[in-house]
Amino acid sequence: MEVRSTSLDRPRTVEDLRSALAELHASSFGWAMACTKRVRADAEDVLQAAYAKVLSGAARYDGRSSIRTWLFGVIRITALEQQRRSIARILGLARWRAEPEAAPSAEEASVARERARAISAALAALADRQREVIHLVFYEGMSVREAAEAMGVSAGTASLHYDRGKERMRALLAEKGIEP
Amino acid sequence: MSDRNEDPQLRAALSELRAHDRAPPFEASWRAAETRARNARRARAAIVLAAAAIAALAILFARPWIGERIGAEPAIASIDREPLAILMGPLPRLDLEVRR
Repeated sequence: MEVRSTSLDRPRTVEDLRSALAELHASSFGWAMACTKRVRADAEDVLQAAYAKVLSGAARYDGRSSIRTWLFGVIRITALEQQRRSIARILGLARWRAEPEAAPSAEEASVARERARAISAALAALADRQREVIHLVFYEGMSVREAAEAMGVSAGTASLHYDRGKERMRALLAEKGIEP
Repeated sequence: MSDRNEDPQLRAALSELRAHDRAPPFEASWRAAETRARNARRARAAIVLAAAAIAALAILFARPWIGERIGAEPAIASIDREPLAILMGPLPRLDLEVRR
């Protein structure tokens, strides 16, 4: 997958920043899903909180990395903060509260959706770091090195999680009968 | 180091997932974020105001006590007379009469 670049590499005004965020919105939402164990409501919440940080100036783009890497860092940190705040998560109730693979409604029961749900569940079952690196590499099309930067870890650590995550993900997909 | 997504199975699976994930409209998320940022600003301003009000009240009520501690005028008039009298001479007449 080709790495998409935003046309606004160095946003200077709020309007520039807004355009850049709009361009990256779908990717940002996908990343927020990965950071929240693929729970949609949490991902939406995290994304809004991350945008609010950008708006209030609590998160500032300093141009040291690409805007996507910076934004993904903001989203990851925001997700961690939300996770710490959530009593439900501390009590380990999050999975019970909002399983990513909820029972499908009649009209949702298409094969494609079932497959996507199974893939989502497999991804959610990975360890946090493994899920993050697998998402960034296979969903976002980043290199492992770029993923490491977005995750705020060393390239070696990201590579380790990448190899383990791939193995585990393959096993989980095989368990669920997902074939390419 | 292993680099880009060279695993075709995982690549296909996550592409499928990507196609399935529907992000909420950007406008809706942005507006919600603006509301959050505005509320946070208001909350911060309210906290600052409350802290300033508490500080002002505290200073107002603690002023006589602070005045005493730092030796301001009213405190000297009422308190420091007593040790001065002890140093300067016998007990005041009023006290002696009460004892008799």
